[in-house]
Amino acid sequence: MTSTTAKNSDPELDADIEQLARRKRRFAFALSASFLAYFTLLPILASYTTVLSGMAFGSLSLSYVYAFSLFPIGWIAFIFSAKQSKKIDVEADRLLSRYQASAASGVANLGQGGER
Amino acid sequence: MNWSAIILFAVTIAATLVMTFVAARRTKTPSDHYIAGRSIGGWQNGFAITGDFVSAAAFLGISGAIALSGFDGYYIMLGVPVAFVILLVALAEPLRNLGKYTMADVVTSRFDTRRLRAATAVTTVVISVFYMVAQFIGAGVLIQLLFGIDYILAVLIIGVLMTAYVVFGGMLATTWIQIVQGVILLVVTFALVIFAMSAIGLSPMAFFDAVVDKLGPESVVGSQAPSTLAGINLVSLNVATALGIAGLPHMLIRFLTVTDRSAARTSAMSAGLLIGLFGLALPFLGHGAALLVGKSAITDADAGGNLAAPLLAEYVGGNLLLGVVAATAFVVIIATLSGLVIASSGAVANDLYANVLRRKRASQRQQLRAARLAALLISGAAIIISLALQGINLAFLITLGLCLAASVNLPLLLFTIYWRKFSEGGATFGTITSLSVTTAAVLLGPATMGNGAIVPLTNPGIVTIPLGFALFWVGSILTPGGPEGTAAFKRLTRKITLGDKQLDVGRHDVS
Repeated sequence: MTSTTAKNSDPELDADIEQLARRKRRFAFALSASFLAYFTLLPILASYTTVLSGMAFGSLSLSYVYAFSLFPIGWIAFIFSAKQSKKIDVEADRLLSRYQASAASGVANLGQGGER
Repeated sequence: MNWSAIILFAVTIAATLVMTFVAARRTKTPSDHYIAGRSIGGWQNGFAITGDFVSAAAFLGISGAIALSGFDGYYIMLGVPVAFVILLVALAEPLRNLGKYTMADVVTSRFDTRRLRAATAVTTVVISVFYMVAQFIGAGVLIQLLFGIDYILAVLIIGVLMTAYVVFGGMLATTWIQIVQGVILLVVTFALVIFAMSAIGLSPMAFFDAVVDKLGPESVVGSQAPSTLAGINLVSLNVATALGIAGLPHMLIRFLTVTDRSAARTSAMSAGLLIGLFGLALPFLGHGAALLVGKSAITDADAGGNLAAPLLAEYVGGNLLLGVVAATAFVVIIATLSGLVIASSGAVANDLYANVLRRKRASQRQQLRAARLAALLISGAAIIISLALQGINLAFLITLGLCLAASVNLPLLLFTIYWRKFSEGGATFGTITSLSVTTAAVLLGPATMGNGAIVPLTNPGIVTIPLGFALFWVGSILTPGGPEGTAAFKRLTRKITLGDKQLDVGRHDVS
């Protein structure tokens, strides 16, 4: 039911869409995996070493400094991601108008929208 | 009898019923019922996710755990930042662009088979019902403790209210109640923190000086693992919490309710910010209760420490503040429960009934009626299970829910959205096997079998999560999708990348 879309699509546009998707995928994977690794290190260090047993400054323990740091680091990751998304959105909108143009010149593609 | 608590309760219930009444008049189509007609804005959804996510287990359970075990009680909150970064970068936008009403809609937008839809729907129902029963049991015990009402009556009151919200008000009423909950929760939490800190020490440094001075330095330090296994268990708990939160169906469907891709991202970010602020406040509540109320008074009131926050409120603000905190706990419970009912009844009515059984031939009116009937049935079932299982270990139910979300739902969604070679066969095989293996691993663990358990880990996530991913992978390698599968992935990638604004003309019954 959707094979008409594949016939009408232009291979160059498909390649560009794939490239943008790959950029998003890489960013998502790199950010998630590194944050997950940093996060997982906390229970490992606390359980098996004495690295986090001391105090950072005053009565604020290194355990708490590590734990509290996860929240602002997450928020900083949000900011990075929002900046990345802004750039990606511009590119995605450009690809979308190309897609619509090629669909309009193709046969009855937009009406079906390539979807069920 | 605490009269301020009872008055606040009555006001809360009246307000939620008014919201339900107004929402019911606006709920006319299945789309209104399941996803609030896609009308929710980014920040609104952020508050609603906060209300959805923060359950009684987080508000009362974690603050109590910190009061009794110090830093070690805090771990379970720490998965939140990681979960919301994953939700933001990997899931929020694709879910918004692919999903119609349920998680199975997201998956079947790539592989449209009835068996996969059924398997995905069953996963949603299993995870949500375990979660729901955990909320009910916790809530029942809590209300019993706070008001002296019998457990059975407490479960019935909450159950009837929750059913009314969802059956009549659908996702719109649920969203409003969750937004109100999110706001109340944050205000009350920070008010309590300020009261506690003004009694102990106004700067965080002075506060921690008092904690170390009175409760000892070990209360602010993550303790060493007594055995290698205990350490693995702790790591497993952390990883399963972080990845499980990112895979909970009742959280994920919230991303289907927003207006567009940027609102989807804003909801993940604002929820991550708000729940993060709440998470940062929890140690001050927990340690504050231990300092001011005292550990023995907390365990006297409830052995699990669940009353630490209410007792702290009573200590710093008397009966009035205790009433406020009790009413907050009540809203926390009903808001989370309503989200769970929407998620699981959607899986039953939209997936199993309208798509699998009726093969998409049900009319809009039939679908809406099915959705409401399913909400009624699921609520009834959850109430009966909760009454039967009174006294079951709560942590066990939450562990099972989070492990299943991380080992079944998360790999299914990530592979569907991102992996070219993922196949329908692999998706179905992976869902069924990972669901069975993970359930078995939790059931054969120490929570039910005691010390000689077949699976020695209380939280088997560290094994079942990689195993889950592997099962989906193996299934896909053995049953490749072929050229038609590649074409379907191409269409999906286009839809995720370009957004659904112009692409899905005529697809939805919403504007």
